[in-house]
Amino acid sequence: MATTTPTDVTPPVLPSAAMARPAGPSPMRRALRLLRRNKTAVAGLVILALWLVIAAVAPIIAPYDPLQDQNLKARLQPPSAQYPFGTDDLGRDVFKRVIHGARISIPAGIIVVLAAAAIGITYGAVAGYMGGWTDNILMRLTDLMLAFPLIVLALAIAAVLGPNLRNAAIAAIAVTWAEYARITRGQILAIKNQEYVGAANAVGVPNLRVMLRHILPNAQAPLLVKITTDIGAVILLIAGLSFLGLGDPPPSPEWGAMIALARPKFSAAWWTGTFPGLAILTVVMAFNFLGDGLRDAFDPRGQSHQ
Amino acid sequence: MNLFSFITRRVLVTIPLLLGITLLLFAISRIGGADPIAFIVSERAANDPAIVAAAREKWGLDRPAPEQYLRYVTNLARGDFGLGFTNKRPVAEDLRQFTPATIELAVTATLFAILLGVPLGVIAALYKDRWPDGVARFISLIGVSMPVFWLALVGLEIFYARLNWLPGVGRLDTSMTAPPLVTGFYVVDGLLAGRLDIVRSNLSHLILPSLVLGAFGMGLITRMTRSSVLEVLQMDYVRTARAKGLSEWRVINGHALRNGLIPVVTVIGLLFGGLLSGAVLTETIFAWPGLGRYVVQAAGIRDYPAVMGATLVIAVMFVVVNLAVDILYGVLDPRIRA
Amino acid sequence: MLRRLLPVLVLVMTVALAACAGTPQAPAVQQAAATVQAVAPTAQAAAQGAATAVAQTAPTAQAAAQGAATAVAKVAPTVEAVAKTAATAAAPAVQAAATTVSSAASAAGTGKNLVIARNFTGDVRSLDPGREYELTPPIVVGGAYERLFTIKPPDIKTLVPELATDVPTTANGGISSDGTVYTLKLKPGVKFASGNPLTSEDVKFSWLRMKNLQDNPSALADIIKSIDTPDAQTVKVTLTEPNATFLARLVSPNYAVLDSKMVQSKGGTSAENAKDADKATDYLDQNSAGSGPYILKSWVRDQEIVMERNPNYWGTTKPAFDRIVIRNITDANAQRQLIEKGDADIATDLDPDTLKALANNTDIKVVNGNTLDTFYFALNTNPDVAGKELGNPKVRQAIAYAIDYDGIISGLLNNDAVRPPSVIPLGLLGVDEAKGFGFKQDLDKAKSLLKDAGYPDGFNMKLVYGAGGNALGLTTNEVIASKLQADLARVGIKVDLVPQDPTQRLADYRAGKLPSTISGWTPDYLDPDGWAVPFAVKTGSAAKRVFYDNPAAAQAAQDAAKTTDQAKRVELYTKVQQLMNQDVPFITLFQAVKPFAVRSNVQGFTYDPVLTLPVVPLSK
Repeated sequence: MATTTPTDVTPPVLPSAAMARPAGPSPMRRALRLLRRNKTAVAGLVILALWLVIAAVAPIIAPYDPLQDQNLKARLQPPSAQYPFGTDDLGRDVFKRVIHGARISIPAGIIVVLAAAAIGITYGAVAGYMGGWTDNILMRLTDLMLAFPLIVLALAIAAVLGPNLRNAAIAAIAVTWAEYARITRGQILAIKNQEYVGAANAVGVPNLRVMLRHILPNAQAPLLVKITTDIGAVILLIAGLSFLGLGDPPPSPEWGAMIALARPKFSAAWWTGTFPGLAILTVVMAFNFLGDGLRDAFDPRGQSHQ
Repeated sequence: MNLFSFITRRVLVTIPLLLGITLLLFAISRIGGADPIAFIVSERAANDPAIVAAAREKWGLDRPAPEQYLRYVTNLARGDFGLGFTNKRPVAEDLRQFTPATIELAVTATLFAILLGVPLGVIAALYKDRWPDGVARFISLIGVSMPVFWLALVGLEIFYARLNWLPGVGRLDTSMTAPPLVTGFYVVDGLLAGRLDIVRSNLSHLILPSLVLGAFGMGLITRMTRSSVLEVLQMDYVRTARAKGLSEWRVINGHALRNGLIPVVTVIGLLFGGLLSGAVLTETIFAWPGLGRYVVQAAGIRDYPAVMGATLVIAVMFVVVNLAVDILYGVLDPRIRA
Repeated sequence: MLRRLLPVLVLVMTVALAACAGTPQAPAVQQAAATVQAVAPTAQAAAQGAATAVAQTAPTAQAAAQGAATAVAKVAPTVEAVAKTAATAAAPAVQAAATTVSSAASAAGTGKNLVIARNFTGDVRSLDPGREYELTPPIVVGGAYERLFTIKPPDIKTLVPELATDVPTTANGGISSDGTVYTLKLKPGVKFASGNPLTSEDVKFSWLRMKNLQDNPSALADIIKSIDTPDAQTVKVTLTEPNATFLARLVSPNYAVLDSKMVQSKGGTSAENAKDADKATDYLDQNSAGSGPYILKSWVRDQEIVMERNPNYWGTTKPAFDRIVIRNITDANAQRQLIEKGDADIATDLDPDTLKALANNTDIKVVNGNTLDTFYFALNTNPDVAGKELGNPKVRQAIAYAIDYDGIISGLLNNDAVRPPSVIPLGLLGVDEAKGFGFKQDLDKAKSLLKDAGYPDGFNMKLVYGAGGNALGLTTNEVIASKLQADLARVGIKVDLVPQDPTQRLADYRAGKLPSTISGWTPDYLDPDGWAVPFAVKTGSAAKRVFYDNPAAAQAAQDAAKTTDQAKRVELYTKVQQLMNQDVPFITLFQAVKPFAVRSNVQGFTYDPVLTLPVVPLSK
């Protein structure tokens, strides 16, 4: 199958040899301990925590009404003590808009990935467990999704559904779930043949419980890594769609939309586009740092080396 | 299995996949339910029922949807992608016009990603847990975290507008016009026309968008190279080689690099899908007349013959690259085909 | 050893990248080379290793190694050894590569070029004068074709003969006493670019073809009943009824004169069935068939339009440029960068803020165009489309009183705009007289009108706008829409902004599907009729989009077209504007004073409200 290649041979995402091993003495706790010692992961966690706090307290420290915040007398002011990130085309405080933007992008990224993971895991579990024709048909559909250049599909979906954040999120879910299905199915297939599952079946444990109790916990580590890095990727995707005008309409302070608004005057007023871009960059980096740290912490090869 | 049947099987399996893509897009285009006739005929002609009816017939819009789809697929088999709604010219012509620009961008971006990513990854592995490793990993994480459209804007502002090190938007200098169309690749067409100024201009215009587009791939390749070289360094034969007293260079070069880079080849296939997605945004900002910009415009106005055509070409490019990667992988590591 | 070598490998890569640029001045190359030098003690061995590693890492890397070698050789003679070693290890093609770079540099373009940076995405549907109806094609038609009459801005009310010998009047016998027959005399000796002489037959062919193609501009020719050609230099046009605007219409680029022999040889026809039978548009989209100083060389959709000098131009002033390139640069900021760097000679879509930032740049001058382009807020009067609230004229009046017009013009547009009282722009007949009917922001009045209408607490409405589009080049649609949203919020009206693809929005707007939108209007010909009829008559192209129907206003607009009595026309147009401001189907937000950025060495730039940018008088 042409398009199955990438995930078939991507060991870092799926160190199946390690994962297939029967669960040792609390691998999660050990991983957490290692995570704490991993500088990258700690940096990621700190940046992320900072952003989450900002998002949470934004309405308190910087009350903001996107409609009433226009001030045509203070348009395009460069950064100053009063406006740390300057003001935009309509005289709105870029700093306020950036921190309020966190309340859109971060939850959107998390919700989209969790929804996609839930759909994908269920789908992959069903395909893997059922096997045979069902599996074949279900997996052909995921091949289809994986062969798509994601943003093109998202574009088509968002264009048909109409431009707003919810539809951009739906488009993002539609292009994200398939890899979860593939990973889960791979895990299921790997473990399905193992003796202890066979034994469980022999004593008549229902299928569903077999899956839940024995199989999914084993897939936790790679899934957790993937979810973390995917949140970053989805934030990028949604920002990209917003930049193309397929996210929330004005006056939403969504970061991608802010950059789109800043684009015509990027040379004349660099601050209008630079700060939302840095916001995206730092948030996505935080998720990637964390994901990287998690990967190291879970990967036994990383620990034993040198 | 020999190489030929391996390729044949893969190509055959690809066809239903591509059909599935067209069906999915066709379905999506029909969910909206908007009557595309408004885009096809001019405002004045829309008042003339005869013109509207003729246009409906010409685009097959008077038929039920399943029949429209079947007709589309049969035409596709003959290389006919249909007519675009807005410009009313064959989509195949548009694709021929816009595809080379995207390919040249994707290829140079991949090159940059490899040229930067592989050395960074090797350095990171060799200096594991020391500062070069930290720097390399940091660069790679920035690469994968960068909003490509923002990087493009910032890159243009810094390297073109402020420093003037690199040229601005477009495929050629503004006063230069395209060479006579042969392949659509300006480098090739420029050489054929004996216009070295065009070749040079095109190459210099490629640098910035390729670096921007390649940043993500660079990050991915660095990470992949690092972990796979690390893994190889742990292998017994590397230890043996070291024990035999071979120089460090020969150990690395003879064993670690060669074997460590095999998995990296596969990541390039994975990379390509992301690259094509990134091209949509990069082309928009760099006024790069490629498939990405074309598909953004077409999607906005639901010009679905154009969207389907462009998506098919993008999907075919993706599939072909992955096929090539698989073959290359098989050549490098014969165990795969066994 | 190895550890010291690897950073060098990275440096070589960097140099390679810089070398690919083919920009010898690139400081990056020098910097990298300098760094190579600094590591020089081990450099020779390093380069050898690097080259080997590169060659083995990936086949593609070989090119990089070559590039690296070339660059190093060029910038730093002291590291010659490095270059040589790398070259030997890499491939013999190094020298070939070096040759390519240097010869390419010497083959720089010659001849005089003019580069115009302009956003014309979706704005060129055709370059056939019989079909084009957008904003960019007139620039091309103005260079490649000629019309019987033009205007010489800033005077936009006086016709200047171009292909005609004089302007017909009733006094000189050019216009029949009943106002229906126009006799037009052509200049002798005019030749098309093909060499064919321009005769009255060509005029007849071009105008009838435009009328019979039944494409968008055909409306301009609806009033023509028949055309006769008594001799090669005389055109006699009979109108269906007296019309005071006929001569003004002839200035439109759609009335350009085409080479009928050439167009017919490409499948063109002017017959009644031209809308089906004419096949010349494909040719005319890529080539011109006119008598102008330039010829159309090629058009690549949404990318570039190229014109070249017409070597056979009949006139005495020869074209100043060998080539004119209109390049599609969607992004205003990219346009700014191009003109700053001299990569563009004219940028047409810079906003006032950007221009202000360029004020100190002596290489660039700003030329203001007193346009007749207006930007307006359209309110659909049909309750079935817009809801019962917008269907109520009191609500529409309240909206008109709620808008902060001065804030838009002085705040958002840096005063690069003015505001006419109603839909007809300032500078035309009967507009000054209607100034008293214009709206001023009055929030109390707006609130009391809403109360009278039964919506004291406001209501919700939708405003659809073209996403990513610009408002007459002065700012973005988003900014205007956000401003309106904030203004209306102050009287309790909650506006949901709906960004839509510009083409989609225009299609929906034309189909009358939008509850409200913001849109621009540019002149077809310079007579108030060109606004009064489309906006005030029920079937007019703008009025029907919002279901505007006021028989009194329509009657006044139509009567004004038929009379040649100026005083009477002023009175009728004043009435049209007064009535329209009671009904408020459209609220004119501003009329652009459009700034163009022009490189200082470009002469002859004048704004022309019909052509936008006349290329013929330009030189440098």
